[in-house]
Amino acid sequence: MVKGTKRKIAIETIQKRDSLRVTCTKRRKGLYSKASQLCLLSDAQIAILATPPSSESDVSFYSFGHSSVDAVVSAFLSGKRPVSAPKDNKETREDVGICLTRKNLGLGFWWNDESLVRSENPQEISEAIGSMWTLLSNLKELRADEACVNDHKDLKKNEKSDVHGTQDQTLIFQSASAVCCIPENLNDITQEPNQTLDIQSSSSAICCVPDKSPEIFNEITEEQDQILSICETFCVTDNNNNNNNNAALPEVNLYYNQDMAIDQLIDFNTPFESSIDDWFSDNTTHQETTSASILNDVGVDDQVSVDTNPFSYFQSLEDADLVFQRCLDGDNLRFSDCFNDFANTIAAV
Amino acid sequence: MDSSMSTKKKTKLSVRNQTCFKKSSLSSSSTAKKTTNLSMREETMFKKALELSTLCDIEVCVIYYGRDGELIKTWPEDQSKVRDMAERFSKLHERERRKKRTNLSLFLRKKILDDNKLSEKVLEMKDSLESGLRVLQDKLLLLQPENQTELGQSRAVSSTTNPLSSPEDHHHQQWTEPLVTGVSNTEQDLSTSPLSNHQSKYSVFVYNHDSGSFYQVPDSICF
Repeated sequence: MVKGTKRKIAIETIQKRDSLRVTCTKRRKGLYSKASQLCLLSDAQIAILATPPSSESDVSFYSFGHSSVDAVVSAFLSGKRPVSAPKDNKETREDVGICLTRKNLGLGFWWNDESLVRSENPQEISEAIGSMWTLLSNLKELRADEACVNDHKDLKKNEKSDVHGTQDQTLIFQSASAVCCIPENLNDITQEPNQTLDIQSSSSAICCVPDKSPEIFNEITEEQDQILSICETFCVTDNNNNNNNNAALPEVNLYYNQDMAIDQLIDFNTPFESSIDDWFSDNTTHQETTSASILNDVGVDDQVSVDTNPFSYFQSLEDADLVFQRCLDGDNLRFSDCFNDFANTIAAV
Repeated sequence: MDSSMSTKKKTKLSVRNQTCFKKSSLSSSSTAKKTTNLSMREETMFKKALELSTLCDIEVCVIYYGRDGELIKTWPEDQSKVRDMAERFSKLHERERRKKRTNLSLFLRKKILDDNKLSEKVLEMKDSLESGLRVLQDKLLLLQPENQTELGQSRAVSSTTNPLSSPEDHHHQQWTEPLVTGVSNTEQDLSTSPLSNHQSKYSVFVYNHDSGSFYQVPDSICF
């Protein structure tokens, strides 16, 4: 008759070295467990001695004993009886493992003992209470140790996740992983102020430093993308500022040339010219209030330098066509000079 | 084949008869049951010692004293082998003997730490212990009201164990604090950037040739 699928192994020497060691460890623990149960049930004193599986081991004997190996072995060698421990020893009462194992074996907890519950002796009860407090503190200490073991296991898991995060960082042109580790956050916090400083310096400077832009492009996180777009805006602004600066210089030369031309044309004052003067004066006033600071500075300087000149209103003109037309009407001999100025203006624009 | 079957049947019947006999008397049944269990446990222990020595090709000896100090049994049966091994053990230096030596208390404690199933039983034990403690304290108060100071001292013991939990909470607080700091820094950086954007704007003017006037383009169109 077959009983289930389990079958016992043959009790013979195991040939594989690793299997032999593992079997030795496990079965030794089992033997100790059976001996411990027997000790608790019958209040017996047992000693177990075992040699290590291989002669190369640095351990001479594996031993288990209750009450202690030395006591039982010495008693055996001397042929005397070992010292018998009292049944309700205080150490036994306050040991968590012994109490729990007794419960598992069906002996119950000692504080639920009928004799103790019905006892009327205050001294006995106070002693029991003291032992129970000690047992409770030992129990909490044991649970703390158990928690430490669990925390140690959790730490191993965290280390694995950290390694995964590091791999993501090494990959090029990939956003940072959603897993946030404290070192990553610390690095980001330290980097961001530097970026803001770079942006501020670029805004204050006339031109952006070209070396910085490749570094900025390498960073790809969302926050960095926003900062990158802001920096692009600053770059565009700087370029426009450069264009304005470049355009301003030729205009200054143009104004000086206009002064010379206008001085020479004083003799040809006509009603048409006077009507044009009135028309441009209004526009010039409007322009001064709204034009850029650079143009304002140029206009003010010209007015101060040629205060007595009645044709000062023409200095702020930007329309090259009118200047060209006026030169042709006034004096054909100056055509070559005016043409050069006109060509410079077109090149600047 | 038939003879073996009949033998098995007889064995079962005899076992049943013994069971009926044991249950008839309560006082004798407990002692008899205990003795039977103990003898079976002894046999199991010695059998496991035999298996261990055979499988792993090692020497094992077990010395078993009863509660009254009498030497009940040894394994191997031949005491000369046991004595030889015991003498070798006793001749070792104390430091050598201390290696891999375990005790009932230490063994059971390690067993609890390694086994997760026992943690639930530990909790049950704790609950039972606390309830029993409460009952006995109430009883002691009834018997001797004068001993309240002792109760105060005993309760002081429990208060000392409370600090064990507080450093863990503090550790958790430290762990979460840097994350909050990081978030606030990020918000500050984002809030400052739009302000600097406004400061760098410039104005664009368009000249209308028909009307001969200058017109300033709104900022929103530029960006």
